[in-house]
Amino acid sequence: MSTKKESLFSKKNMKLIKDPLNDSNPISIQVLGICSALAITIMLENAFVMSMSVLFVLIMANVVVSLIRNMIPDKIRIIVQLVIVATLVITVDQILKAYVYEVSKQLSVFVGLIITNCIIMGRLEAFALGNKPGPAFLDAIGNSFGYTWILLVVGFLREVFGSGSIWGFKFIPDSWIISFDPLTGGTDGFYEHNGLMLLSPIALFLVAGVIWVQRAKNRKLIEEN
Amino acid sequence: MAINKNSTGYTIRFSVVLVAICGSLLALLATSLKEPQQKNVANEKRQFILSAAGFAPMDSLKKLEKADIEKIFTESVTSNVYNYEGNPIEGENAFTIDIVKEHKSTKNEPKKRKYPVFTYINGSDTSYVIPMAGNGLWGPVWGFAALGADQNTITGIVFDHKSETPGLGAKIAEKSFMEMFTSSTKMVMKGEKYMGLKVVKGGLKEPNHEVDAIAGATITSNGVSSMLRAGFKPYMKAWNKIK
Repeated sequence: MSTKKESLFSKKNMKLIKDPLNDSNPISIQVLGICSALAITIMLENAFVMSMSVLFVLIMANVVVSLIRNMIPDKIRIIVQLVIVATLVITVDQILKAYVYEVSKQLSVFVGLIITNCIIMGRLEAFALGNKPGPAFLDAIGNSFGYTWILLVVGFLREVFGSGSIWGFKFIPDSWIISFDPLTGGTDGFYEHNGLMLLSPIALFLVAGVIWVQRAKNRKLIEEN
Repeated sequence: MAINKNSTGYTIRFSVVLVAICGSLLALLATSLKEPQQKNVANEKRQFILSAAGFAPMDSLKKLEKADIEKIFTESVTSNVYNYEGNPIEGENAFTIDIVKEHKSTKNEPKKRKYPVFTYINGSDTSYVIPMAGNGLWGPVWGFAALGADQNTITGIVFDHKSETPGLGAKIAEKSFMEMFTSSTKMVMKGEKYMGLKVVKGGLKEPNHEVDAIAGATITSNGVSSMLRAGFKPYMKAWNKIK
């Protein structure tokens, strides 16, 4: 470790923010935190609230753990991290329930499951325990935005093709939807929502698509077999 | 630093302090947010009842302020509580009965349950909103069914669920499913015989007492079905419909 005092926004520190957005993205490269990416990306709004919750928890946890990193006994460090993360997650859950009730209902158990989100424990263990609060803060921002943009892309695609809306705003009129017309005995409309988009497995295909695009553009990410 | 942070004593002291801090923070948070949370739950229940009663669709109710909803609700809705035999229970607040908890705590013992009903009066229109609960695939399902002035014909219905599969069981809370109960006449009584309502597969045998199940969501549909089959009975006794 260099003894020279370096600025918070030095080149090395900015790398902490930029890398997780692309070259070491927690979802598409490290494949962490996939479970929530599958579950809550049906609507853009849900994906956004979930991302913001993860952002809050990851930043706070990274900074707090980094602040007390020299006081945490080695033997119980994982449990200490868990307690801190759990406290933060319950805080988020309670706040959502009090102020954005509708969204919290749709996210249901997944807010609670942020506790087990591998990105958070992964960053705490790999970064916050060995670094000062400043860099830990930047690392948290980088990683949560890396998580956020993937969730937003997947959420956007699923909402557009699955429900024909963006952020709850419908742009495909009901008259386009294929429906049975009892008067003529024929069918009306020409468009049908893709029901597969509403199911969790489709997110896996979409994330795989992101991974493919990313690696096609940046060949050094492709693993050698 | 002279402290040995790997000693057992230090480890215990550290954990006690950490847990005390986190615990008190959470306790503080929970108590300070309890009020808005309870208000949200109560507000949603009022929205459900008003929407079932036909005051306005759920989408437009969601745009109203909580205070407005409460005002409309207190002005137009009165309530009663009955027991299984159809006798009124005095001194019960129908609104505070959590129907899902009530269903859970009296599992398989419908006779011990309390049966609240909300009467909505709007000019010459009267409807009776009956809350009911049942079991879906992953968790509870519940709903509010409104009967018209004849205390027999369904005039509106809303369902909600805790954690049914999106795109499958969760469809019970979608318009397309709920509209099946009002797009054609659905009745609880067949002459003087109690029928309730059923959610069935493969065509309707009793079109006035049945609706189509949701494809791919058999267990959720069955849960809703058994909830609707039994849910109206105590009220029919109370209203002397069952002779």
